[in-house]
Formats: sequence, structure tokens, C-alpha cells
Amino acid sequence: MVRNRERDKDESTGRRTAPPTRDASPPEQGAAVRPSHTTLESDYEYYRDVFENSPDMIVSVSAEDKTIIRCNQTVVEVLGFSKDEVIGRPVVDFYARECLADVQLAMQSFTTHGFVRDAHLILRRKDGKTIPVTLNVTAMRDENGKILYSRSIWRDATQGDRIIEESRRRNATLLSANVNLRSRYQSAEVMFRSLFTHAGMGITIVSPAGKILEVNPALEEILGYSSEELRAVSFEDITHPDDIDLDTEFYAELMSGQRTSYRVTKRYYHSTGRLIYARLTVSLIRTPTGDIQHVVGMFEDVTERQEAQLRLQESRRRFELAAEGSADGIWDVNLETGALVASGRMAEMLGLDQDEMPESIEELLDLVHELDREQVEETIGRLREPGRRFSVDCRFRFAGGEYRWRQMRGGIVEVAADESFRMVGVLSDIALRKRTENQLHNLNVQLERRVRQRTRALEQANKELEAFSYSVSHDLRAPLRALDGFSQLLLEDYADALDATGRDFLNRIRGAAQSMGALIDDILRLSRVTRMELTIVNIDLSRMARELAQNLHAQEPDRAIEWKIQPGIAVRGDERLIRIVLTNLLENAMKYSRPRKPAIIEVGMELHEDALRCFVRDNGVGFDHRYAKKLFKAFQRLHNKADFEGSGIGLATVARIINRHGGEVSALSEPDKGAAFYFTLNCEAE
Amino acid sequence: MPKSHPILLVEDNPDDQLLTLRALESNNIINQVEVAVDGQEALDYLHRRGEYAGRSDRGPQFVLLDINLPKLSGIEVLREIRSTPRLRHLPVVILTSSKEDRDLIESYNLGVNSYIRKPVDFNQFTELVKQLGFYWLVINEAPEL
Repeated sequence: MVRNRERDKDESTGRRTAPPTRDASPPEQGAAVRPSHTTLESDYEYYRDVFENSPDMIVSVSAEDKTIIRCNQTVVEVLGFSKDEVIGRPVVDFYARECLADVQLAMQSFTTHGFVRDAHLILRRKDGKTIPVTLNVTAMRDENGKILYSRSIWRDATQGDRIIEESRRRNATLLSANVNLRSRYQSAEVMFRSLFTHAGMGITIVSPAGKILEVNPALEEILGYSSEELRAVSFEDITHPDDIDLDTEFYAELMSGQRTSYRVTKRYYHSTGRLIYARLTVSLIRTPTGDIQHVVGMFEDVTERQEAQLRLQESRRRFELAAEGSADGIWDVNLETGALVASGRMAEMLGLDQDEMPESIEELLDLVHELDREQVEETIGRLREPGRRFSVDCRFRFAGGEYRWRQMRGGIVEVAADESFRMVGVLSDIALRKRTENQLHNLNVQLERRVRQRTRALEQANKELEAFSYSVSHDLRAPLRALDGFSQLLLEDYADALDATGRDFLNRIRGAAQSMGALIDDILRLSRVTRMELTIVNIDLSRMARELAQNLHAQEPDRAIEWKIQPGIAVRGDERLIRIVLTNLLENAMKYSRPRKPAIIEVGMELHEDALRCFVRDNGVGFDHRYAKKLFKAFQRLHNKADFEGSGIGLATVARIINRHGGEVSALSEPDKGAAFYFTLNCEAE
Repeated sequence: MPKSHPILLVEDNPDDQLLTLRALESNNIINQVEVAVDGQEALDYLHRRGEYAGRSDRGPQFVLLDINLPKLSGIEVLREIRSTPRLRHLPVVILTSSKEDRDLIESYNLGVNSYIRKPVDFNQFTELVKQLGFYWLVINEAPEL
């Protein structure tokens, strides 16, 4: 807004009611430099008179609490308050309520620029009446530029408003444009302030001379200093020494107008000493006349990005090293374009020069043996989603028509940077492995053939054995029955014709026939044990032992036998066969402890060399341990038949059964000191 | 009192025939014993055909059947008996040397009434025949053939 200062002054003078309290000489050029005390005093009086009797109201307002520090006489006269009522009160108290928003804007403007020009506001007089004023504010600063207080000048705008009214009538359009401009300026000011305060980016406003004027909260946070602390240091103080001169040239160009802004990444020391990377954008604010008013610096903290980039570079370097050093070829296919990028090793592995290397996946697949091609394409084609992997063996064609085995492995990855899908993987040389596999395969085929032959032979032998034992069981016993039966009939029908010796002979024939019958039964049982299929179940060995002991004892009820059967012995095995084992061992124990009174027979389980083993122990006649191994072979006997009956097949049968259960059997004894038979069961073995 | 229908003994071994007859006799089993020496003859007897076409006696009361027989084995004879409606309920006792699983199981599958293994000891055999006769002739009730 443009005003005619002369006329304002005239009008104000005309309105003045209170005369100057002292005589005042008109200001003289040079008065201020006259070094006489009197003159200084009269100068003071003069300025005081001008101050007190200025047609405008003048107040000084504290920069800290916005209270009025000082006011002139005109304030007292126009507003009707005494000086005491004015001084010390917040300046805002003197404005009419309806203009408080404008007062706020004016204050913000002052904070930003250090001055207010021609703000239209309304004052409230002591009598409650309002009076329109224009407000002009200038800042009084100390030598560091810090605002000490503001000097506000209120000019009575009653007259001015009238003129404005006229002016508006004369040139409504112009005025309305001005008003718009003003409100736009004010709202831009608010927006700027808000932006400045809330921006995520650090912003500083620096005077052309390099003095830090403003620092926003984001920058305080980025650098870890308060704006006061930052004003006390310079940016250079907290810049990494190597980076201080990075932008010297740019700055010069900026100042000389060769560029309007520049951008540079610098390292700064955070207040904690940590190094941070900031992307700095520097630009200028110029006055309408083109002079440099402020330098604006914007800081973006790119430490994380920078560090990530460094890590990425590091990892890429490592990857490249690995790729170079790797025996595998490494490839990467862009799935949209089919473009193939591969490591140098990849070409080597395909027997190609670097410049012959396929540049697309199709070209690569063209090199695959036609017999493998379909499988490779299908395997790769099946792959649809990231994270899935494939591995396929195939032959690649080499120069000269030779084919070599290679393995392609890979998977699909989504590249975050450009959201493209890529297939990446490696190519390995598996020629040697394939050769070995082929040899292995051939060996396996041979082995299987041999196994089949053996199995057939074995099955044949088994069948023959079965037929043999079948016929043994039927046909070999019949003659024995005849021997025994007719001997008996002789004894019955011709007893008179025989003397004692004759009868004894007949009884011997019967005995021989019966023991051969028993022998045949034992051989058949042994043979059956070998052929029988196992049915593995959980067995309560203690219970089985108690039942058998009861039955066996019942056959020799007169004997004194002390049974010590440990309860709760649980094993896994074929119940029928384990029963045969236990029967044999218990029968043996009973048989060889016959001379003992009482015989003591124990059944138990114990831990031996980290494995559980079962045992049957007796206090019988025992045997010479040197022959223990012979015990478990068929027809081997360590005792005289006359003393202890038996075919010598029982323990062979036991050994065969335990063997089929994947276990081991052993015996421990000394003559006359009893015997112990041990067995382990490991059913999962068969 | 023992019923008077005959017992059919199917046994090819003359020694066993003789011993069995003797065992029956010494146990006072006075039923007539018909002896068939092979499976074919046993079926001829049961079906009243061939040599036995004109036989008028009833029965038998029960059959003592060996397994290892010429021509038709005891198992086949048993199968034929069980698949012939008229003979289906005839008590059959297998009396044999073997107790091989496959014989034992096959016999029971075919519905044998009893399976006895002949012991070598003649005294035991005699005792066994006594029990058999007593059971099948006195204790057991079977439908008339």
C-alpha cells in the first residue's frame, strides 16, 4: 500500500491537542556529531519531544514476552490510558477483539521478517471505543542481530480509511486486487511457517554472510543440535573435514548467479559424534529487485540409504568375487524380455568364447540336447512364483557335436528395485558325477540281476527244503512207529517166549525209535524256525516265563525248584518263536540243575554294554566255558546222553531264532557253578 | 453203548493199519473197521460205488483219515466229503504223522473235526485211540448218514 507521508503528517498535526512539554529546536543536520554536553542534552530533549509528541502512537514491545516496555504521550492521549496502565501490559491487550487474528498474522510476519508494514488493525480505547490504525513495526537488534525489542508505530487511520473509501470508489478493481494480494500473502506466510516447522526435511535459512538465521525442528533432529546451539557453531564446524570443500565451487556459482541451486551429499557429525550422510540442496531467496536476501539449505538424512548402498556395493563385490572364483556358471534371465546375462565362467562351461555366449534363454535352450530339451523346458516353464526352485540335469551341445552333462539350478526372484521377475541360477559341471552315476547304475543293474538269480536259487532251495522236511515229517516217522509198536506187541503177546535180556533188547529198540522220533521233531522245528515268517509283537516275557515254568514244573512235580522271574520284562519279537527260545532255555535249566536241591532258575533282563539283554540262569552242573561256542551248533552236545537226555538241537534252534530277530545269544558257565544264557532282541533289524 | 456202525480207517501203510486195528481192539472197540488203502477207495466206500457199490451197511460212524495217501491225498478226500451234501456232516479225524502248518491249516479250512498226530510211542498211541473211540463213538452225537 502506498501512502502520502506528507499529507498524513499534516493531518496528524492538525489533530494534535497537547502542546510539546518543552521547547524543542528543529533538528539540525550535524547536531548528533557535536561533541558538547549541552548539545547532547538538548539533542536528547529534542528526540524526546519528537518521540512524545509524534502524531503517531509509538510503543516499544519486549521481544520476549510481548509486553509494552515504553510508550509515547500520543498513546496516552489517543487511547485514554495512563502510561502506568500501558507499560508492562501485553501489547495484544490493546487490540480490539475483532482484529486479533490479524494481530497474530502481523506477529508471525514480524518473527519471520523482522518487520511489519502497514498492517490494518483496530485498537481499543479505555472508553471502549475502537479506533482503526495502521501498524508498522521495526526490530531493534543488538550487534549479533538478536532482536532486543520491537518498535511499533500505530497511526490513526480514521482519516486514512475515509480516503481509502474514496479511493475504493474510484478504483474498486485495483483495491480489490490489492486486498486479494494481501490475504494471499498472509496465507502463504502461514503455509510457509507450517511447512517450515513440520517439514520432514531439515531446513535452514542463512544470511548471505553465512549467519544461521533459522533452523527448523527437523534439522535440529537430523544434526542433534538445538537451533541455538547451531547458531553458535557454523555448519563447517560439524562437517566432515573431507567434505567441507565439496561445494565451494557450486556455492560460488550460486552466488554469482550462474546457477539457481545445487545439490551435494555431505557427511556431518551428529551431536553424538555419529557420522551422518545428508543430501544438501542449496538455493537462494532473492528480493524483488534481485538482491540475495537469504540462502536456504535443505537437508535430507540419507545415512540409512547410503549405508544400505555401501552394504549393497560390498555384497555385490563379494558376489562378483564369488562368481569369478566359482566353479559354477552363474546366469540371470529377465523373464519379461528373456534376456540372459551370465558370468564368464558360464561361457567356459558351455565351451564357448565370451562373445558366443547366448543372450537369451531361448538361445541357451537351443544348446540343450534334444532328448533333454522337453524336460528342461517343462521344468523351467512350471516355475511360476518367486521362491520356487528347480534343478534339472541336461546335456549341452559343444562344438564338434559332443554333448556334456551339466546341471541347471535356479529359481525365480522378484527384483524389488524395478519389480521385475527374474530367473537366476547356476550351471554346474556334472559330467563326472553322471559318469559315476552311469557306472553305479550299471553296477546296480548287474547286482540286481545277480540278486534275482540268487533269490531264485534260494527260493528253489527253500522249496526243496520244505518238500524235504514235509516228507521227513510224514515218512520218516512211520517206520519208527512200526519199530516201537511191534516191539511193544512182542512184549505184550510173546512175553513168555522172551527172557529178561530179550525184553531188554526190545525196550532198547523202543527207546531208540522214540529218541529218533524226538530227533526228527527237533530237526523239523529247526527247519521250520528258519523258514517261518516273523510276526513281530510286544511280548511280556515275564508272563511267558511264569506260564512255561508252571507247565514245566508240572511235568516234574516232585522237584524242588525256586523260580526267580523278574517282573515286567517287555520285548518285541515273534511270540511263537520267542516261546520256543524260552522253552528251550528253561528246559535246559531244569535239566542241568536236576542234581540241585533246590534248583534255582532265574529269568531276567539287565543292562550290558549299553544294551538290554535277557538271561536265563541256573545253579546246575554248568559246562566248560571253552566249549560255549559249540553249544549253539546243531547236534553238538557237551554232556553224556546217559546223564542228560537231548538231541543237541535245542540251543541251535534258540540261536537260529535269536539270529532271525537280529539279536545275539551267548552263554557263560563253569563246571558245577551253574550256567547263564543271554540273548538280545533287535527286531527292527530284520 | 458204542454204536454199531463201522469206522472207516483210511491208511496206506500196512504197519500203521495193523497197529491202529490192534489199538482199537485192545481198547474193546468192537465196531467193524473198514480199511481203505488210498483216497480213491475211501471215496468209493463213502459213495457206495465200484467195489462198494452193493454195500448195505450204514455209516460210517466216523473216519480216521491219513494225509499222505496214494492216488488221492487225505486233504482231497476231506474236500470231497465236505462238498458232498450227503456226507457233509460226517465226522472226520485226521490221523497223521505230520503236523506241518500247511496240512493243519488246510484241514481246518476244509472243516475237519479233529486233527491228531500219531506219536511214535505205541503206548501213547493206544491211549490216544482209546480216547478217540470213546469220544466219537460214545460221547459225540452226529447226524445219521
